[in-house]
Amino acid sequence: MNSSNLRMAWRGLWRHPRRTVLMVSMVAFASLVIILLWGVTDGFMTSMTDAQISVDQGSLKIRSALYEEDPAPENGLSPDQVAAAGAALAAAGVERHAPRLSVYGMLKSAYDATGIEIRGIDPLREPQVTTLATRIAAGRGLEKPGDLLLSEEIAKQLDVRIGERVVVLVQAESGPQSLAFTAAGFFASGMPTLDKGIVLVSLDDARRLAAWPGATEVVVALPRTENAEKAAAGLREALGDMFSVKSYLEANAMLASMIKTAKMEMWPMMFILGLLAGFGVANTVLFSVLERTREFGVMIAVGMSPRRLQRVVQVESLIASALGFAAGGLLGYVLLLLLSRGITLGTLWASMTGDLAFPTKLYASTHGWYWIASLVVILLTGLIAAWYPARRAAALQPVEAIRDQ
Amino acid sequence: MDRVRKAALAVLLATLACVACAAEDYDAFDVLAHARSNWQGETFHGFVTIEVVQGGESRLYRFEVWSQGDDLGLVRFLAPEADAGSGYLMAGDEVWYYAPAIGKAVPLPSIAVADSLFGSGPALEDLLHGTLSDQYDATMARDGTDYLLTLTPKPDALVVYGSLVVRVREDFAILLVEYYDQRGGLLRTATFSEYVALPGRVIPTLIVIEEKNGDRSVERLENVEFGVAIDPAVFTVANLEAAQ
Repeated sequence: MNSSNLRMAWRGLWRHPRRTVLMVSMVAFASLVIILLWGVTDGFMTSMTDAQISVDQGSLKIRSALYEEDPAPENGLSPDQVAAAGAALAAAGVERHAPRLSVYGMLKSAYDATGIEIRGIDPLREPQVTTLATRIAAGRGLEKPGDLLLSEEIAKQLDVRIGERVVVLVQAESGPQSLAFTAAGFFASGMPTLDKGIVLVSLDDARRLAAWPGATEVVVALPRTENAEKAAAGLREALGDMFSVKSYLEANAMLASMIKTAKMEMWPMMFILGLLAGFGVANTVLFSVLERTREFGVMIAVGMSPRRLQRVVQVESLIASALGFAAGGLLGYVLLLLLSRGITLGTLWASMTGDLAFPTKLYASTHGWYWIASLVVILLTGLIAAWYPARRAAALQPVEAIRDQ
Repeated sequence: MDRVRKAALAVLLATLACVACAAEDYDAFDVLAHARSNWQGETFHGFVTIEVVQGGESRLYRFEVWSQGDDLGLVRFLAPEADAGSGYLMAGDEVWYYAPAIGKAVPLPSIAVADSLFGSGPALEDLLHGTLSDQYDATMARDGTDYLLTLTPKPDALVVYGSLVVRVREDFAILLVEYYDQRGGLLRTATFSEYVALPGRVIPTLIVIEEKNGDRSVERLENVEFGVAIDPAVFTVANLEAAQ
């Protein structure tokens, strides 16, 4: 494309501003819809997994292979295995990791009881990995043995106030074990399913309850830029068959497939919208060519080659598409910027998603490779759409064209 | 069923506690120790009718109970018809449940017993099984001839209540247990009445447990026998499954 073609195309476009504006608007609308859909879908999926990873799950988990088959504390990692996992992580240069011991049981107040996961955490190391224990809405965090953190929702259900005693009862391998705890604080994870299902105690208390000196998992936080699946594969190799190492998405196959499906669905959507914009552009360019038969006849008569004329018409379409994308993209960016402050979807949505413990607030994303993909789709569509009208222009016979009324 | 099970187990424990013995100078734990000392290792057999009123609806259950010492117990439901023949066997840490519809006894995690005893039960269990001084601080006053005990859980006690107030008759028959929450609000009241004298003891034949929310259970004991010989075969899974 040389610069005189570009200049001619630009002038050609603005000789009929109303038609050009119409064409640009059509492309802008299609671009806007594509970008909004992508931005919201991509942002939701990302903020969902980010919330899960940062609040609750960590980037990856190391468990014993036995525990994966039968998740009872006594099938968990022994103290030696916890140390081995720590050594493997140190060798891999991973600094942020914390052991946990989860056991299922009953939480009781004077008023009610509920079945719940009792998660023992290391109060000093866990905050390096996840934020749940620090998301305190009332009271304080875990400071001493016998402290227990529960969600505001469970506190309401069991009518527990800060400082009151609750009793936890679990079925350990050796028989039922009970411990009394003090409700030290209430947390709010922002994920209703998680809030309803878990209480936090110190790792040592959980070990007493479960009568198991080790941990059920070592949770690892990786920098965002690091590929968790690759890191998990490396650790699997280092630790051997006795261990199971899974990244967040590997451990949550349902969520992974949901994300994949949501993104796959975007492609046909983009294709349809691209087609729509393409038809609009083709139609407008064709009319413009028909209207300008006489003009084109003169251009050919004064020596312009049909091939160059074809290019000029295509460049006109390309410029209109680019302008449309710029306008639609700009509006889309502004809207996504607003949506990236977070959309509260409410507890109904979050509870609909079951065990995945989705956050009630999701965020749109304003950046990502989908910007390039949509730009390419829009420009290609514009180019293809102008192909027939451009060919038609190039095939004009100058004498007949000049006579055209 | 859960409520009935709780009630059944509570009865099992409570009835055995009300044993008479001579009154002398006692502290709170002595009074409670006397209340439970004579039944330990003894056997019990009787019939219990429980009317459970829950959420405004009332249901009537009837069952037969056998127990021996701390560890062995069998509860067999006689009514309503839908539950007749089902029952629970407790043997040490093991708990079995049988229902004719299932056709065989199924083991329950022992947490099920601890859980079912948690309602009205755990405090009663504490009262009867001698872990009391580990779990509670106690004060005692005399109210007329009755002993009035106030039990306050120790900081690490496995007790969700704020305090218990127990009224014990001069002959060591428990008359009333009040359960208070940790804010001093009354949660539940268990009243023991219609005492009958049996050789060497008096026992209540009417136990009323009233909850703060209005739910209540009224438990009546009939044909109660203490110290009878019970065939060890009674406390077996085979017997649990042999219900007609």
